[in-house]
Amino acid sequence: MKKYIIIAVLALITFRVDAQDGSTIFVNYLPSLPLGGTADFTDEISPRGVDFEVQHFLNEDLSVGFNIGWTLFRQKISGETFYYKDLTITGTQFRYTNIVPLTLNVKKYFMANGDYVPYVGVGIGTSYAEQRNEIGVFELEDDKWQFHMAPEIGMLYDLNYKSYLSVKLKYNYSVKAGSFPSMSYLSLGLGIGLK
Amino acid sequence: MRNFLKLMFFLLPVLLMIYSCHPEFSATIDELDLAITKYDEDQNFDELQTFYLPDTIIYITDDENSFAANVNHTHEEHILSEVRQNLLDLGWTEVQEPTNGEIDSDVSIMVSVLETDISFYYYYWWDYWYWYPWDWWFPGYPGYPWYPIWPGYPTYPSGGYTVGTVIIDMVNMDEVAMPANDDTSIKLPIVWSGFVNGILAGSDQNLQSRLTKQISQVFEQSPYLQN
Repeated sequence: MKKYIIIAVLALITFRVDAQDGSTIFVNYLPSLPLGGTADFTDEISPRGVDFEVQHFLNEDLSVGFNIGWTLFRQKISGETFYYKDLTITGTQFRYTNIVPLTLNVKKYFMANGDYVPYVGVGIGTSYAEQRNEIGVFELEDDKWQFHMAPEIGMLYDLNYKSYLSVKLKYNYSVKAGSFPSMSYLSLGLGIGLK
Repeated sequence: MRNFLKLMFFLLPVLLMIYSCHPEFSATIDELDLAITKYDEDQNFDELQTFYLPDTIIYITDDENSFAANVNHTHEEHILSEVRQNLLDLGWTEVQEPTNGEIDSDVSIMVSVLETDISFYYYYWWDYWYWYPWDWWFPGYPGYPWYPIWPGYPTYPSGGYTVGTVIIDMVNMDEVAMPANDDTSIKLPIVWSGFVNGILAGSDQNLQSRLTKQISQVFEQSPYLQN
């Protein structure tokens, strides 16, 4: 049911929300490769990710916007012994890392003849990260809001006068907060934009 | 047609995302089994060579919910036999009977079983750790963020299930002190504890094999017990 609601809402958006003057709305599928502190906890490539973005074009080759994303990494570790405080524990661990970045971003486009428009961009903001380890009927959990930055390179394909196809490579980095480790991961974005 | 294509392009990433969601793993009952140990780091285990293992198990149940009536004794002998064999395999010597009412061994092994319904587990576990005498020799309950959960795995009966914990405590008999008429000075130094924790579901044969595996594991992950 939930999925039909999401599809219905998005369908409505495509028909009703013709982006405002100079604005484009993007939605990207976002598989990701965990790195650094993220990979220390969950080191498997994640097919579970998405982001939504609104870009407002200040002129032909510069835009500013807002991006919200969600990526879930998970990993199952069987039969490994680990230590927690003064306990030695052996069991199957089900680990999850959820990261939800919220950033303001700016993009510079390199206009050329043809339908392909390469760009570079950077986003700065915050991200909510949660690490959860489920072991037996127990759970270890920690979460934090972190300072987040995300440089990216990408390419838009001018599909028609109302839409783009989009491909991008985005590096996400959240700064260590207290005892919560820094998070980093590399995302491949495949999506579409509505002008 | 163009609008349709555009819509498809727009929905494609979303559909891929929804398709790939299923964020939670599915776990089998066996995969929820745990072996947990803790020990007194100040104890020199080389000094401890002999053990006494009573032939009974203490059952800890949630009386308020009449679980005592449901306690399953089927595996009692098996549990005790596994504990004994693992200690013997580690080079310990068993002292069979107390002499003159005194336990003439370096340690006494107390085996208890905590059995409670998952819906009470969250609260009961806390209570248990509170009254359990950790604070005499151990730093106590590990605390946040380590806490019990109701596993939301689809493989379990929705009506709930029972969690069982076999607790194997090693008491250093040389340090035991039980002065008469003075409850505050009782010393029962537990120098090592092993916990086998899991969901009580499956056939007796399945439970037995899980118990064997996990009881072995608590000893295997405690190399300092090797004599």
